[in-house]
Formats: sequence, C-alpha cells, structure tokens
Amino acid sequence: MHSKRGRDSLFGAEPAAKRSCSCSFPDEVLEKVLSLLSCYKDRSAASLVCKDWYHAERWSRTQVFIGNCYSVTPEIVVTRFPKIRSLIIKGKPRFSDFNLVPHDWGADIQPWLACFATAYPLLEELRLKRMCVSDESLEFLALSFRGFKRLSLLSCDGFSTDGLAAIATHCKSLVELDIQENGIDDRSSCWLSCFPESLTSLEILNFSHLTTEVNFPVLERLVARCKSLKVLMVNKNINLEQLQKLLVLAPQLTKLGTGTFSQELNSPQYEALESSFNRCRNLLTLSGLLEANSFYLRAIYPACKKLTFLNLCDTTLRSDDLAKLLAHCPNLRRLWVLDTVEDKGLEAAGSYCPLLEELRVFPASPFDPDIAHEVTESGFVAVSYGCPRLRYVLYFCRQMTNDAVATIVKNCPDFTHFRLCIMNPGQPDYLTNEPMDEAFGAVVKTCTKLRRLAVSGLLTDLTFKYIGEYAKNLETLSVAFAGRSDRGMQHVLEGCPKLRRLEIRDCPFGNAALLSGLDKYESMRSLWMSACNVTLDACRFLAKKKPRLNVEVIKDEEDDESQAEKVYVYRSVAGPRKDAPPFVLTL
Amino acid sequence: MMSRAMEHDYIGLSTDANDHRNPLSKGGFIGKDLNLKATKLRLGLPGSESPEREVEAEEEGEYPVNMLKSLVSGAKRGFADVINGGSGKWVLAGNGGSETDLGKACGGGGGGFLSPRGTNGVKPPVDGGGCGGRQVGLSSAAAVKEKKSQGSGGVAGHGTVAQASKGEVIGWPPIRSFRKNSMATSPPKADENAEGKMASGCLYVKVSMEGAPYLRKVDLKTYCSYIELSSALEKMFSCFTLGQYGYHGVPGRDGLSESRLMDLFHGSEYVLTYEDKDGDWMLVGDVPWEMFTNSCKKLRIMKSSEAIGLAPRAMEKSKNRE
Repeated sequence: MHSKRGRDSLFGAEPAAKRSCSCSFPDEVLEKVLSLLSCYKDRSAASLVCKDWYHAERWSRTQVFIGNCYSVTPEIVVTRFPKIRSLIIKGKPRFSDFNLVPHDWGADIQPWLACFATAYPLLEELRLKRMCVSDESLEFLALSFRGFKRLSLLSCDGFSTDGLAAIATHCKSLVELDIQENGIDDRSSCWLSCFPESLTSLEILNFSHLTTEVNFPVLERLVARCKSLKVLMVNKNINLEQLQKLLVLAPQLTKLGTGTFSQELNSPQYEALESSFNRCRNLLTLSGLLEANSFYLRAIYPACKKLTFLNLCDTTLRSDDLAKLLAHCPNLRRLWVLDTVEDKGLEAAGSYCPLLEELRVFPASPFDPDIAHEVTESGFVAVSYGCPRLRYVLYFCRQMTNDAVATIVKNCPDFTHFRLCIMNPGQPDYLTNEPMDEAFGAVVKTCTKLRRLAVSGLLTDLTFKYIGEYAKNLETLSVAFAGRSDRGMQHVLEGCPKLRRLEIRDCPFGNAALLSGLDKYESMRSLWMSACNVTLDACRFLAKKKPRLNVEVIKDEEDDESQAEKVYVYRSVAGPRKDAPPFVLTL
Repeated sequence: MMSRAMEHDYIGLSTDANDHRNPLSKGGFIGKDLNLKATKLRLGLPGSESPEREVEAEEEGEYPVNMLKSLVSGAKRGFADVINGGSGKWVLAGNGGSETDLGKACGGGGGGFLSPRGTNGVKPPVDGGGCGGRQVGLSSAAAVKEKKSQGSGGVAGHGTVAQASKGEVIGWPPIRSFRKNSMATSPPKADENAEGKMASGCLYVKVSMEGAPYLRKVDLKTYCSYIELSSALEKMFSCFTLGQYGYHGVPGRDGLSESRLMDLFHGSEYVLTYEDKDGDWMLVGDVPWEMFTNSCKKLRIMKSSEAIGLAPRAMEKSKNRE
C-alpha cells in the first residue's frame, strides 16, 4: 500500500534510531487494525502513540468529527486525512441557538465544500450543526460528490427548500435526508418532486419541521419505491388518512414522525389506521402527534411495544393521555415531553417506564408565566423513584428545591447529563428561600459520572466550589445568572480537569476570572462569556499570552468601548479567522 | 434624568402578585401574608438607601428571607455593582430605540439600587455609576410587559441580535430559536389581539375578574366540562372572591353541568361570562361544552349585578344557531 518512506517524506526522513515505536507490523496490518476503531476519541489516542500509528491511523480514518469549524482549516484536514467519506462539523457557539450570536457571524460551509470537492470526491456523508448553509452550497454539494449519500442538518440556517430540491435532483444515491430544526426558508414543497423516479435508495427521510404543503401522491410514490426506508418523519400537512397509506407501504419503519395525527375519521378509516399500526412491528422511535387527541391515540398502542424513544415535544398532550400511552411503552428508554403533561404525566412515566434513561421536559409556554399547568419538582422526583437508570435529563420548570434535587440524585446516581433550567433567573429554593447551591452540590457529589451540567436558580460561588471540587468528569458546563464573584468561575477553572466547554452568560465574573483560566483554555474546546464583566484589555492580554487561542469579541454598536460584551475563546491550529465580519474582533 | 427614570413605575420586584420573579409567589399567587410593601423597590437618588434593604453582608449561603425578596432581582443586579459604568445590556421589549434610553436613564437613577451584597461581602459603593443598564432593563421589562410588543418573536434578525419582546430576557429561557418558531403552542407574539390562541391541541383564553389586579390564562382543552372549568377557576381566583361557593364538585352528568354551573355562582356576587366569536358577552353554561369551547374567546368573572340581562340573550342566540 503506502510505504513508510513515502509517507515519512511528507515530514522529512527520520533516522531509524529516533523511532521510539517498537512495533514491527507492516503498515497494511496496522491500518487494518486501526480501521476497526470507530470512535474518534480512540483514534485520536492511537494517533498519539508514535509516528507509525499516526500515519496508519490517518490513512485508515474515514470519518472526522470537527467540534468547532474554526479550530482547524479544511486544508489541514484534507492533508492529514486523505480518505474521509464522512464529516461531522459544528459551527457557531451553542448560545447562537438562543439568539445570542448575530446573524452573519460566520461558520459558512462553502469553504469546506470547495476544499472537499477536490480532496474527497468520494465523500458520502455530511452532518452539520449550527453551520451557515446556502442554497448554492447545497447545490454545489449535490453536484460535486457523485456518490453522496447522507445529509443531516440541525440548527443550520441560510438555506431554503430550493437547496433541498438541488439535493433531491442530483444525489442519485441518496440514502438519508435529515432536516431537523433549522432556520430554513420554507418556500415550497416542490423539492419532494425532484427525487427522480429511479431513486430507490432512500432509508431516512425527515422533513417534519418544514411547513409547506406536501404533494402527497409524490410522497406516496417515493415511499412505495424505497423499500429500504427505515425512518420517515413527515410534517404537519400529512393527515391521518395519508399517514395510514404511508404506513401500509412501509411497515418496516423503525422511526416514525406522524405529523399532526389529526383528522375526522369514520369507522372504517379508523380501523384501517389501527390495523396499519398493528403491522408496524419494528417501531423504535415515535414522534410528531402534533394534534393527537385521546381517541385516535389508541390506534398507536399496538405499535408501541418495542418503542425506545418517544418524542412528544411538539404536542400538548395531557397527563391522562400520556399515562395511557406510556402504559403501552414498557421498553421506553428516552422520553421527550412538553410540560403540559404536568407532574401527573411524569408520575406515569415513573410507573410505566422503569427502563427510562433519558427525560427531557420542555416548556410549552416559556415566555408566559400566567399559564397554570406546568411541571414542578414533584414530577421530577416521581420519575427518579420509578426510573433509577436515568442518566440524561433536561428539565424546564418554574420551581425547585434543594431537597428535591438531593432526592433525585440519590435515586439516580448515574447521571451523565444533568441540565436543570429553573426558568426564572436567579430564583431560590421556593420552600426555604435559600440558594440552590446544595442542589447542584448534591448532583456533583453523587453523580461521579457527570459529563454535562447546566445550572440555574439562585446560585452563589459555593455551587462552583462544589463543581470544581467534585465534578471530575465534567466536560460541559452551562451557567446563567449565577455566582457572586470571580471566585465562582475560578473554582471551576481550577477544578474540573476534563472541562472542554464552558459557556457563561449574565454572571458577575470579570477579568480575574477570565485570566485565571489562562493555562486551561488550550485544553478546552471553547469558552463563551457574555454579559459578564470582562474588558477588552483583558481579552487582548489573553490573546497575547496565548497565541494558540483565538480570542474573539463580538461587538454591538451600543456597547461601551472598553467592555467585552461577548467573548468567545477557543483553541485553534488555524490561526485567527480570516472571514470574521466587522463586528467580530479577532484579538 | 429622574423624570425619565420615574416613567418606570415598578422596578425589580413588582407588586404584581402574579410576578413570577417574586420567589415567594408560588406558581403565580402571592400568599396573603406576604408583605408586598417589602418587595416594592423605590427609586431613590444616588446615596439614598431604602430602609428595607439594610442588610448585613453574610457568609455565602446564608440569606435572611427579607433580603431574598430584593435579592431575586438583586441577583440579577447583585453583580451589576461590580460592573463599573458598564452598559451591560439586556435587550428589552421592542420599543425601538428605547432600550438604550433606558440603559442610559438608569445610569443616573439607578444609584438608588442598593445591591444587597457586593463582591466578596463588601457593600457596594452606592453611586450612579454602579448601575448597569441591565437592572433597569429587566425591571422595566416588567413595566413594558403591559405594552404591546413589537413581536419579533425571538427570530434572529439579520445582521443584528434579535430583540426580545414582551419583557423577556433575550435568549432566556434557553429554548432553541428555531424550535420556538416551530413549536405548536408558542403564542403568536406579534398579535396582542389574539385572545383565544388556537394552536394545535391547545386553546388558551384569558380569564379576568372584576377587581383582580391581574388576569390568568387557562387552556380550555384541558377541561371536559363546565364543572372542571369552574372548579379550576374557583381555585385560581379564590383569593379575590368574597362570596362563598357552596358547591364543591359533585360529579354529574354532562347534561346537567350547565345548570350546576349556574348553581355554583348562584348566591355569590360573581358570575362567569365569556366573550364569543361575535364579540358578545354571554353567561357561561348555556350551551353544550363543545360549542362553548369552540366559540369562547375570553372569560370574565363579573359581578352578578353587571351580568343581569345576559342570560336571555344567550338563550336566544343559541336557539337562533340551531
């Protein structure tokens, strides 16, 4: 295959005596062995062993995960990894999801595609998160990579359904088109008609978040001819009768998004619906049910036995409907709901789903505190009693107590992701009026496997002292409206050896806090600080001291000149951004 | 400067019992024993201190209850004192350029804010410069809650950061903006006049009551009958009614629920009325439940004296419909 000499010449010849690696495998064997490694973290570790392993690894790697598109350039990637078929790229800082990052900030996919078009003509898969993707880029993608198979877009923006039309038209071997929540300009549904009649390879089709009308006969024909279709998530413009027809064509589905699930059905129609769900014996994931009512929900029950993931975050199900549904889902591992299910609904989850590992409760009316029905700490506690295997939770609520959280983690010590959002900024324990320090203290003390934490409520520096001291496996920390002084942030930066992402907003952390992480940031992916108390000078100082960090400040016109209102610090081998818009200062 | 600051009547904690920012208002109701005066912050000149907020610096983790009332908004302000002259900005309700005005306005008036704690337990210097636009930002966000929002709905504007509407802090709660826009139940922010918000599976109507300082919202879809609705409303507004409900939810057939509802309010000072699609005010309970939920846009608990004369019209109207 590739001789050692040939490869080494890229880096200059090495005298044999200097080689520390004692392995004497031929390259081919080493590459074969390393090609069996799929996890990119393992591969990165392997590549550090010695030069031989580094090269064997890079020649055998087919998938690259780039957590921050500005940490590396496309050129560096294609130089190191010549044989990539699949890329996962994340762009904007996570807080851009919440409108904290201006619209034209960057993370354009086009430079990457331009580079890949020559370097990876056989590229098959692209999964993008928080990237800026234009219709032109999508067309470029479709035309440049003949064998392109899988496209997944989440939280991206800048494109419209025209771009999807280009993908559908030109990607003759398309296997996956997964359009999740994005800032997409939903112009028309004609993209669906762009799939040629000859396309039969589709396995995953998700357009559940598009809003345009759907040309049903076109969809029907597409589903009929794609016999390997496993995932079908339709949007709200598919009614029950149409859904039933699709199910008849694709009983092999493992993941289904039902659209509105609403229509006036007569008896035979309802029976047809029920029987087609009955034939769906392989459903693992169910979502949609946007307007499902109690009566029609019953049709789903026969298909729920094997369900492991139920995503109800787009439907305002009430507690009794949820309870009835959950009674048929004994194998559920992941449940996403709106808080309209209330504590009673969560109690049902605790009763019926003992294998539950992940719970996400989203607020139906996050900006309207007048709404009476929501979840409280009791619902969360109830789930913890019934579901000891819980390891991932995202919970939006308006009240919480320290005791409740302590009970929850006592019941479920295996949390890896604990994201609690008490929606009122700076709200204390509503029974004792104390800060929520002890709650998160309990979390980090008890859950030793914790990798991700989001804190909320009234918090003093004590919370961060706990985090720094106990959260030894913590990788991602999200903080908002918390802390009392620089010491808070310092605790975290001094502790938490595995910290990779730290995102902070509206906290009293200033320059001392920022600079206390001087030696830490290079071991992290990124730091975000907004609406804190950091000055431009401190950022400049950081940038000067640490040339391998990119220190960027996002400016607003109204800002005080000396304040750094939004700071984004990340390690990079690419050097400062060359495409920064005028409101981003690269220091 | 003072006059501009005075525009914003209540700053920080409001006396609005429904203010979710008040930590003691559980789920929106202030307990009757809450000393509302203690929560009311007054704007003072730099150097003046309001007596309620005299607090001693405490160790981390110990909070006298009194302090906490102001600490809640103070928590948003508590760090503002370390910001020296910072124009920390929370984007406010979209009233055009008024956000910056507010920010600047508070620069002078904000000195009256005594943050309960300074950094490391030191009392903050009480001076005009100590105020970040942030504190007035959030508080006058409460003030502008009453005003019509510009309703950008949190969608990212082009080239600029999105403006929060209706008293929101921008980007909080942390719901994905794309999700916010596609969420079935998100109320249309641009449309203050949409009283009954018909979003998939959800039918929120405002419920107001004679003499109550605030209104509530209920989702009619969560009730199946007049009995459920009236008992829920009874719970919600019980702190305001002087009359006693003698009736406590004996389950009955749906067919009788209408007359039971009349009994519910019978003898008390209040009746439950609703505004229907045509804009007419009718007594609740006259028509079958489904018809009611389809046509109800607003609910109002009126004094009986005002509701006289409604009943006959309601009967006639439903007869005309049939």
